[in-house]
Amino acid sequence: MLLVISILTLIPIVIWASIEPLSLRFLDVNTATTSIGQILGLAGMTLFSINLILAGRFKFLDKYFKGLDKVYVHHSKIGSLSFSLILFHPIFLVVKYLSISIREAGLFFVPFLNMPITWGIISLILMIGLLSVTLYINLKYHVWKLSHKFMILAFFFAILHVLNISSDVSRSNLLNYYILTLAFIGLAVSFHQAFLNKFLSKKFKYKIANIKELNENVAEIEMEPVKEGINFENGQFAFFSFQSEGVSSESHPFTISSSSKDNNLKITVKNLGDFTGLLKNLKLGDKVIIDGPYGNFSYNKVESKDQIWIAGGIGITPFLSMVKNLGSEYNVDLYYSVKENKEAVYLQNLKEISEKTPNFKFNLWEAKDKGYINGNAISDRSNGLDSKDIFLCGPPSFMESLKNQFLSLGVDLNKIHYENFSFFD
Amino acid sequence: MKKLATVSLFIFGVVVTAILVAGLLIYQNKKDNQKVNSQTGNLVQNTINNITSTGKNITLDMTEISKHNKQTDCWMLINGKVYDITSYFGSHPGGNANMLATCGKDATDAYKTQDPYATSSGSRTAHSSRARNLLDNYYIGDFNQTIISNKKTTSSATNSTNVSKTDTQVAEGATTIPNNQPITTSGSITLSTAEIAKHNKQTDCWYLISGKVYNITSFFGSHPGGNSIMVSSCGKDATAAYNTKDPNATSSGSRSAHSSNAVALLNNYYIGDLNQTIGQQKVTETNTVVAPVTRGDDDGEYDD
Repeated sequence: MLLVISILTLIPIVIWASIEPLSLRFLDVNTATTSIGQILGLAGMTLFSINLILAGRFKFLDKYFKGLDKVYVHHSKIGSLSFSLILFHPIFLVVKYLSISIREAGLFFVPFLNMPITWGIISLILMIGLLSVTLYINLKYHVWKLSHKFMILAFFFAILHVLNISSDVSRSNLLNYYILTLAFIGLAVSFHQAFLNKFLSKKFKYKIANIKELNENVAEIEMEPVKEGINFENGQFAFFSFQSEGVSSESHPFTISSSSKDNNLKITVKNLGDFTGLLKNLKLGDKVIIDGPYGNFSYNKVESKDQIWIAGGIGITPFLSMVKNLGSEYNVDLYYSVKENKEAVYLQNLKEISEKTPNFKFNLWEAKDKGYINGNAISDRSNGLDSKDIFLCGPPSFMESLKNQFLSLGVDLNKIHYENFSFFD
Repeated sequence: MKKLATVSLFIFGVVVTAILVAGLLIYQNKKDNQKVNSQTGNLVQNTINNITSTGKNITLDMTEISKHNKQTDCWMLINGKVYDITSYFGSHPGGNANMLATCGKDATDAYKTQDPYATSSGSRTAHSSRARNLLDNYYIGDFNQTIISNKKTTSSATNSTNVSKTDTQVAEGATTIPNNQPITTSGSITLSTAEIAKHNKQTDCWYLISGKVYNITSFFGSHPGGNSIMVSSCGKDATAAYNTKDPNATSSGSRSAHSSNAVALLNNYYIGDLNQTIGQQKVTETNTVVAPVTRGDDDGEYDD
């Protein structure tokens, strides 16, 4: 899939290179910098378009990237790359103006002197503003998500810029169609995703059946289907949009913690961000619209039946769902890492299941007593890690640290599975 | 990847801020100066192109223009004027290919419509006034004019970056400007309005001001108010324009009059009175008074 994206990005550069002999493209400093600037613009624009498509919550992306969470990880990386390329696009183009005079160069950055360039400037200003918010400010999830939707506006101005600027893009029909087709697909997808998704795509309607506080910070929300129930695999997640007063209806991803065999759906919500704080405004009977399921975090999708599951705090939720359906042919060691005992929700349930299920071994790890959980300790307790599949779910730093420890212990990267929740909370 | 974005953002911020500050704020003060200099450089360039006695005469006809039809040697005919835009390649916001398409051709329509194929004139927009000012830097001569060519004509970079180097040559170069003057008739001429009207371009510009005729051709490039404001009155009665510093003299009085210094300078370009008959010699003589003009340009700067 990344190969496909790379090829899609290289195509416009190849077309660009074929329009005019390269010797003329790189004749001197002015032409060379202009050419690099154009390449950066083309590649940045292509990646921007692709990124909008990636944000489209498509099932096929969920499948090819092995989980929508991974798609978002790539979305973030490609977005940063695209942003960087686009930032350097005017920097390289201004060089030729600098060779005329510094004043000409200054005027190049001044809006409203030249409309096509102005569109580009507007787009760039929007991008810088919105992405600074994304990269450097920790906003409430639904505020951030709303702000991020304005990237579509930045993209729209970028399209105007591409359409109106007289350059190779406007001269070569092939390049023109390529860039614009991709751009309009991106625009359509993002527009649909941001505004029309609520009405058009298939959603499941549920209503809140029960809210149970597991401890002071964690609550379990149980929902029952209004009509048709969602069909998911244990360990998957979905986007939940609560139609309650005092709660943002912006959809949020949560792992489903109930078993796929249950009629009712459960999610377990920690009072992390401000949104989750608002969950206390939920009332029984409130409508919930669910988009999903997504994710590839499932014990039955890997080759080994010998598995190690490691949960950090609230990251226990996918395992909770998985353990309820665990087949007898599996042999699973679950490590549940918490700061202290009282933080461990579902402790009683897990202990009970472990007593009834001989092939499921439950280990509580209290960091307060034993220090942070580590790869060696797990390896010792589980009699080695050979050919075992390892599942990680927890805070990003927790997963990153354990992943690196396992890699240094010789575990193959393909054997380590993790769900990236960093994007979601 | 976040690091990459951060670093890029930082570099972008520094570069753009630096250029904007340098280009717009610091240069604001020197703006007029810059303009004068760049056009002085320009004038010098034209002069240099014409100065060489070793060069050969070439006529800027279509045959000659069509020889310069590639990116590394590109001439264009635009509105009856010939430009060598070779050194502008790489600087064109519309890209190189658009320009390349009309190298060695009549690019008037293409230039007007920003469409090299000028297929649907009117649908595309004209170049900005900024672009037009830039174009002047690449002017070689008029269509069918005979100029003395040296090698430089085809490849020299004609822009303001040369100014500092060429500035010192102004006095020396400018004295030869009469080479540039397309005045070929000998004997005497009468300074009638009809005669004055013939001298209506930057390379040959006469003014009628308060009943006196001035050949201010060699003053181009030295005018603190820029060239374009002067060129519009060439071949005309410029009395009102001169008094108001407004070429269109639409609202006389609203603009201020020229300084006494400027008035003194103007006398250097005096040819004769309206309808006076003078010897041809007189016309060319005035042109040699360029050196003091160049020095005087600093004074004009402060007055303005």
